[in-house]
Amino acid sequence: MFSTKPDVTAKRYLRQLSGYLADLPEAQRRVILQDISEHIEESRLSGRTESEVISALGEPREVAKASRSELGIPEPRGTGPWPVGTSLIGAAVAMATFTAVIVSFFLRNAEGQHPDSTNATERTLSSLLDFYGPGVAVLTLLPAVLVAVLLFVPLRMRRWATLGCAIATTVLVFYNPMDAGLFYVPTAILIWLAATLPFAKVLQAGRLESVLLQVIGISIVLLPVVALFAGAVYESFSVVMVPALIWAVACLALAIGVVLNRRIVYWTILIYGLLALITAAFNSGILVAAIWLFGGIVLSFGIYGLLRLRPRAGITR
Amino acid sequence: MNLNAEKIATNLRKGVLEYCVLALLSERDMYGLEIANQLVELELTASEGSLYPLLARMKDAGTVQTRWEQVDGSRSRKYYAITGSGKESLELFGSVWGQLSNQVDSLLGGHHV
Repeated sequence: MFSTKPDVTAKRYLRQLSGYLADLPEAQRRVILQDISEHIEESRLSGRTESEVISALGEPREVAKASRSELGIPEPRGTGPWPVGTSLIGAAVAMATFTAVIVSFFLRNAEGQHPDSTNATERTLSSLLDFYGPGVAVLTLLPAVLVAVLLFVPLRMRRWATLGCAIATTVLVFYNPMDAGLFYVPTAILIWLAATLPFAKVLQAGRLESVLLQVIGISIVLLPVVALFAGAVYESFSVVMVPALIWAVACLALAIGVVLNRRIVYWTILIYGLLALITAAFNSGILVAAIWLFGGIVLSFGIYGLLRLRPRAGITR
Repeated sequence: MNLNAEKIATNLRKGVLEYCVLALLSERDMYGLEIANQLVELELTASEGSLYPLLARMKDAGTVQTRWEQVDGSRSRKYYAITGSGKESLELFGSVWGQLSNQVDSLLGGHHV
């Protein structure tokens, strides 16, 4: 009872409070959380039990409400903190399922070794389902099932289960079964986010992290534009100028949006990523893997922005 | 205390809690838990957690200041001390409170025996 580290109840209390305080300015939230955690610590050392201390503190929601009224911050719309963890796991399940469908039905077998193929076209068009049989569909769905199970893991064990799941998916990517490993990268990123973001001490990214991630985000958004125009300049392939220009301007606008750090921008980026993923699904060209990977990274960045760079509505006012 | 009485008391305490904290700190510097314990003992607050946002605002307002003090080597404690402007503010509150309580007392006195 007299350990120096806060136990599970106290940790959960602080995490809940941190969630309810998500819309407070970084510095002020940190001070309040630090004060309360020091209060818990001191109380425990003075001989009170953890549960006594926690109940005397009052509901996290009430403490958050008091903080807002003291600091003159309006109450956010909606109720309670957004269940960040559950939402991320949900997103990962959806991504893993989507990936399974793509890998089973749309992905062309790199080797093109359909056993019954009689001509070159059929050979290159054989999907993994044709090649490996219906069992492959079940097999590719395995990660989706694994991630879905996380939703039923009790909250106190979920962190470690999610971490295990993230590591397993990463191993899968590198183990590269049926040459489909790369397609599980977006799923892996989402599970890593689910294993880390909900458990961060402070929900909103700090200054250094924000700047770093914004730079990365801008690079992600602008990289394909630069690549395309570099290609066009060296005339390695022709570009249909007007749509390409519109797209480039839109990407530039998104990059500026990232600098301004607005939620609407991260929503747009999320949808942009989703569109890229869908494009990859229906485009079996040579760039399919690249577009899929790009879409997954863009989508993940959008989610990251919404959850960490500019968390929750009501803040932006 | 019944529920309605509790409600009235909670509303009244809200406005004076800040000055109660200043009054406590005018005696000596205290750390968070000490202030919380005193307030709970005097039945001036029900939720200890709400004290910290209040202290944070008072610090911003300049009526209290904080310093860190080392305790048994490894840990440090945040001590709160009243400032000059905090003392002024407490004094002002004292006179307003005296006046107000007299007025209210005399008004209530008419209805009481």
